[in-house]
Amino acid sequence: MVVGAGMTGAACAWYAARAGLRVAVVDRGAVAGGTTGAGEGNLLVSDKEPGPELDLAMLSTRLWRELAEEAGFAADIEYEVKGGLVVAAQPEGFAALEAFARQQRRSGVVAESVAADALPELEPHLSRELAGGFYYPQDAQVQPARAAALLIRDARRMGATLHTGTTVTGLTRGAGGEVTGVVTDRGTLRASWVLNAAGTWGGEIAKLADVRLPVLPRRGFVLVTEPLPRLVRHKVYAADYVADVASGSAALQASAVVEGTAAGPVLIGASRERVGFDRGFSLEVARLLARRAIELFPALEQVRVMRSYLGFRPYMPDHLPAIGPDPRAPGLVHACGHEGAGIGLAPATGHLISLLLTGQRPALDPAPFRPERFGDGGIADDGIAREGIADEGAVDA
Amino acid sequence: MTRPSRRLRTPLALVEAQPGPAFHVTFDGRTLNALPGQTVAAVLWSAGIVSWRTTRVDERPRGVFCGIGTCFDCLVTANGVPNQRACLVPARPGDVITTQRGDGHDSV
Amino acid sequence: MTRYDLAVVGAGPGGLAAALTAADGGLRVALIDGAPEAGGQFYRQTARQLRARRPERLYHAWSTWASLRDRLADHRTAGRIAFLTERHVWSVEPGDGAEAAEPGGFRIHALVGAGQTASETVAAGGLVLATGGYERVLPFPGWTLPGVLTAGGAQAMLKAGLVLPGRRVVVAGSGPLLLPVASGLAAAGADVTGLYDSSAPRAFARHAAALGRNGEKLIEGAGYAARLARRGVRIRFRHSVTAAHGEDRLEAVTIAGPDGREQRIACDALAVSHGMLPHTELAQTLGARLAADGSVAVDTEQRTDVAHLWAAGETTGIGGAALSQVEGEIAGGSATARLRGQAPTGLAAKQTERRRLTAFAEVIQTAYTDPADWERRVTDETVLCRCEEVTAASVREAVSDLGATDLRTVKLLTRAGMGWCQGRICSPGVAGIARCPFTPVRTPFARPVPLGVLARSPDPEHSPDNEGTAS
Repeated sequence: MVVGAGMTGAACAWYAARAGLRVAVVDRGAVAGGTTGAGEGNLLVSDKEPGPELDLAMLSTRLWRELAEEAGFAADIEYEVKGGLVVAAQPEGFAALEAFARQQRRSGVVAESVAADALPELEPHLSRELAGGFYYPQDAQVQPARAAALLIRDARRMGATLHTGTTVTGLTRGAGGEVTGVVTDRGTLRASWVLNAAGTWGGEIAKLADVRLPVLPRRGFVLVTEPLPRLVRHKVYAADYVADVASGSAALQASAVVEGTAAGPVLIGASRERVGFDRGFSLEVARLLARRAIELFPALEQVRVMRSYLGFRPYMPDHLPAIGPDPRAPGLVHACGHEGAGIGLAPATGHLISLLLTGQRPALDPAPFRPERFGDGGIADDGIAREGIADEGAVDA
Repeated sequence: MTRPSRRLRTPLALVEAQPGPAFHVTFDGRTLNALPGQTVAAVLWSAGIVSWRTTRVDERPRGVFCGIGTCFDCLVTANGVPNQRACLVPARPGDVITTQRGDGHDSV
Repeated sequence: MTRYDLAVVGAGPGGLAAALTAADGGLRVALIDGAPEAGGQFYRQTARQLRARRPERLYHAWSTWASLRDRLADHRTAGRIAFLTERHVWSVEPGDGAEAAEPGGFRIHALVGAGQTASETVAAGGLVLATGGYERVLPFPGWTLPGVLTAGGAQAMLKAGLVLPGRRVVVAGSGPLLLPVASGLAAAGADVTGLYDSSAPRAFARHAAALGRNGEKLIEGAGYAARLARRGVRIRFRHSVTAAHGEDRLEAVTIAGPDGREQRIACDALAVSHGMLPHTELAQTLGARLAADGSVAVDTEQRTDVAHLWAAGETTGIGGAALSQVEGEIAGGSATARLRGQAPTGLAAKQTERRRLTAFAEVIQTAYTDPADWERRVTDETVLCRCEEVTAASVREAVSDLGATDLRTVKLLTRAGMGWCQGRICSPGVAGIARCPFTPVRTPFARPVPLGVLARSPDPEHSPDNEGTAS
């Protein structure tokens, strides 16, 4: 019983169905109705710190390629191994990139140093005022909503069922307290395992089992331009992006992330704020993103923004997702909290889950992702920042 | 003056317009007459031209659809600047109007 | 920054009336519109340089317009209304930028001139949104051919530029707009071969009482019909266009009658419309609640649920120019009082008039009906999203195969609604084919905005002296 028909839920359903398990996917909305429909579809290794997340990303990148080829829908989901280019405006930033890349290489990441004067060859429209960059050929992109939908369709062809517009309101428990299924507004469904793939709302599902999973929303905006010819060839982002991702600050952080799409528009991100689930558009954020994007690509100055969308990344305090069975509630399994990396990490998550559920040896050490690692106290669950210093914790961002 | 008879009925005649002097613009190299105050779309319509761009995917011709600047079907390239709504942009003497293809940014 | 008492976005009948009423009441008003002249769509003005000596021949109720126009001129001369033309509002933010003295208010951001590459900001304590409406067109095979256009679009091009969409015109669809459009095109010299409305005349008979209370509207309609009959223009109800034909431009249409019999009519222009939809982007950006029909929700003073934000005209529900004007007067009167901390007086008569006209509009809404089974005539190859060229096949696949159950998901999976027009044109068609609820277009950018404009913050303040276009 997969709760959540986003990318993570879709991948888990696919791998589980392929492993021969009987799968049902439930979502209170539609397929890709949550954060999956608000992302850029990035499959990155470039921004991952060495450690469990990078290992997960390396595995997932390989699985994405296999998935795209095996399931035969690479073109349909706009799967493109376009490569990522991280650039630094200052020499200190470039040096930091170098140090980072060195560590990443130990985990199998390919990272090529690019001197300032060699950048234009990779990206002709990039600003000429940069100190240098690193090219990551393993970075790729997909269209996330289509990818999730096609994975679910495939899973259904393998016997899985899909129940959209169905809200989980509780969990059923067995005699020993184990989770035995879900109660929804359309009836009860029994399952040996209930998988929490509810992304940013994963904490709410966990609460139904009386366990704590501190998933918080981290709001992000994306600006979408008019359709353009190939202006940006790779995913290009500024070095401070990595620091933003790793930051625990609730205040607005924005660094330039620019990439083209197969359909033509250029996507511009990326902002991170902890403002709860505030769906109000912020012109202030949009202006900041525009400024940062033009700093990287001056030619974007004349290009028109057609629309913007926002989403809530599921953010865990230690920036690692929760993947695996919950010992506090046997029968409940988690696969959520991938913060801004959910699309890329989905196949590895799904693969890991299906190995764990079928009693096989997991491809990675699952210990760092164990869902019970946060205990039960300390951090507020409502998604509103409450960091030590008063002005840093301001909600009204 | 009474209303014109059917044979002579034109929009200009209906409202007894006495426009300022006509001027020239070009469309794909062809010289067209334009009346001051008309939009690029109106000038092209007067010359019997109803489409001035082709679409990105299927390369199909498009022209005026909503006529009020909401649908973005009438996008035209004027004086090298693409993606202008022909139904809103006034024609000016010497305008060089060209058919645009796809996203309109062929020259990038 | 100059802070107006009241800003009004939209200079059609609704916005004009609001601005004039507020100026009458002593407020300092900024009236903002994208066109070079006031009038909106209903009173869209012929370009000045075309020097029309008998412009009234293109309009109904010219004297109403003349009165509004003259009052505007007086207020401008007296400095009570700053009329900011060729300003295309792309966003509105709460807060008027004032430091501490007067909290609240709004900052209105507008792209300037036809080029729309630079932006200005207007600050005001109160805001009236009179952003009007636009045409609703249900798709059919061939509807993307050049030569097929909206009925309102044909009328707008005729009024503004004194041009016709073609020589042989068919007018079709449903709604009260078809009659005046057909009449206007015929008067201007087009050979209007016929007017085909998919509605059933029986529906009008059913609502005779309500229609009767609005005698002048019936007379208006009868006038158009008589004029068309005199010109030999066929008027048929329960008929609809099932397809448009042509290679690279329109050459003929197929019209089907209630018995299913089809006829092919040669033509080079098809003016089509299935009613109208309100523009509500700015209201949504400010957080104003929408009514069930997708229009901006207002109370009897035309107030939205956002402080000091009013809305009037088609944006609060499609109902025609006369209703828009009355609503504008109410909004202007309410704003004049409320912005001074008082309750308005003297609105009663106007509110009664609004109720009467609203009742008529509601009758019209139910009497005019979409073509029966229009979804079935949409083939898999028919393009539904004109901007992104998404076909009905893609939309149907998203629903049947990929689990899409709402418009947003269909959009995510097919790109329908992601193009330049942001779903304004295709949403009704896509919702119909996908059999999901129609949701109003919601976008933080009411117009496409150059990134350079966004990056510059804050925008230069609008200069009070610079009322014309910068270009």
